[in-house]
Amino acid sequence: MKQRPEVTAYFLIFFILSVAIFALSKTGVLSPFEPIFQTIIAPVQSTVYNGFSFVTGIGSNSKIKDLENKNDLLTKKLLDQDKLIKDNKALNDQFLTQNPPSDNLLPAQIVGAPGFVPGLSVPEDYIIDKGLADGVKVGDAVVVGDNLIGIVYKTTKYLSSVSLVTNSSASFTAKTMETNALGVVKGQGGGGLILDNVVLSDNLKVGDLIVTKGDASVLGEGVMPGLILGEIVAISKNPSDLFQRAKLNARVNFSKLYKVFVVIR
Amino acid sequence: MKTISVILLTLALIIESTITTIPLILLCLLTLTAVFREKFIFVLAFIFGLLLDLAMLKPVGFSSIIFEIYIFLIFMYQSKLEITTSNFIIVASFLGSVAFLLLNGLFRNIILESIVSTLVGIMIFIITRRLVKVKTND
Repeated sequence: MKQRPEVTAYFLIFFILSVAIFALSKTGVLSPFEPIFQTIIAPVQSTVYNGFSFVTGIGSNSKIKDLENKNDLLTKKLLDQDKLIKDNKALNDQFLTQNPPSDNLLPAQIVGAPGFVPGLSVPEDYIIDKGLADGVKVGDAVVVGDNLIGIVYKTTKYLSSVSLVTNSSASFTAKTMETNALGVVKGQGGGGLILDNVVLSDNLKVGDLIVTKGDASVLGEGVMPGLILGEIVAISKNPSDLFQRAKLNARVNFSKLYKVFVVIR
Repeated sequence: MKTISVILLTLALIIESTITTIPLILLCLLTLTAVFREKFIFVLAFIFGLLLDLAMLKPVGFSSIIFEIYIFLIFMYQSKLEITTSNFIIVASFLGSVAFLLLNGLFRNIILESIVSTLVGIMIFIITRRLVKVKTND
C-alpha cells in the first residue's frame, strides 16, 4: 500500500498550504494580490452573467416590460410629488429630502449573482465590478431608480459584494408612505420581505409603499431616507400581539437585474 | 486527463461564481477523483479552491481546505468502497454538498439544493466517464 503514504503526503502539503493562505488572507496580507485575478475574471463573469440574463429574458412579453417601466416611472413621480407636498407643508426649505442625486451615483455591472436555481431563485448577494479603486466603501447603498437594492458589505480593489435587502441578515428602519407608520423591514431570504415592529395603533394599508426612514450619520454613512423597499401585499394584525407586521413584495426583480448604481459618499 | 480536468473545472468555476450556488467544483473534483484516481487532483483542488474564493470575494483558502479534506476522504475510502460506481457518487455528492453549503452559510433550501447537486454530480460523472472511454478507444 505504497500509494497511501503518498496520498497522505500530497494531502498534508496542500492542506497546510491552504491553511497558511487562509490565515494570510484573514490578516489582510494577500489583499494587494487579490485584484490581479479579479481583473481577469470579472469581464468573463460579466459576459457569462449578461449572456445568461439575455437567454432567460427571451420570450418575455415586451408589452408587460413596458407597462412595468411605466409603472416604475409613475411611482417615482408619486414619490417626488409626496416629498414636495411634505416639504411645502413643513415650510422647511433647508431640509433636503434625499433621492440620490445623480452626481453621487456610480453605475456598476453585476458580474455574479449566485442563486440556487439560476434565473429562478432570488440571489441573496451580488458581486459588482466596482471596488475601492472607484470610490466604493463598505456601507454604501446600492440602488436602481428609487429602489434600494442592498448594501455593500465587502470591497476589494476592483470588485464589491452587495448584500440584498431580501438577504435573511438584512434589516432597515422604514416607514409607510401614506400613513407614516414606522417599522423595521427584514429580509426573509428567497426574495421575501416583511415589515415588522409596527405598533398596533399605526395604520397599515395594502398597496402602500414602504420607504427607508434613513439612518445616515454626519459622515454620510448609512442609508438615506426615501428609498423604496417594497409594497405591502398582506397585513398580519393580532390584538394580543405587541406589534403588527406586513408582508412586502419587492418592486424589483432581483434575478433579472444586470446593472445597479452605488451611492457614493 | 489533465486537459479534461482543467476544462471541466474552469467551466464549473465560471458558472459557480456567476449564476448558481450549486457546488459544481466540488462535484467535478469528486468525479475526477473517482474516474482518474490521480494524486494530481489534490493540486487542482488547491488551485481551483483559491480561484473560487477570489471570484466570490470570500477569504482565500477556505474552499481549498474543504476540497482537500473532501478529496483525501475519498482516497481513503477507495480501498474499502467501490468509488467508480453511481451509488458512491450519489452518496458522496449529497454529503459533500450538504457539508459545503453548511460551511458557506447557505442554510436556505439546503436539502433540496443538495438533492439537485447530487443529480448534477451523477450527470457530470456519466459524461466524464463517456468522454474518457471515447478518448481511450481513440
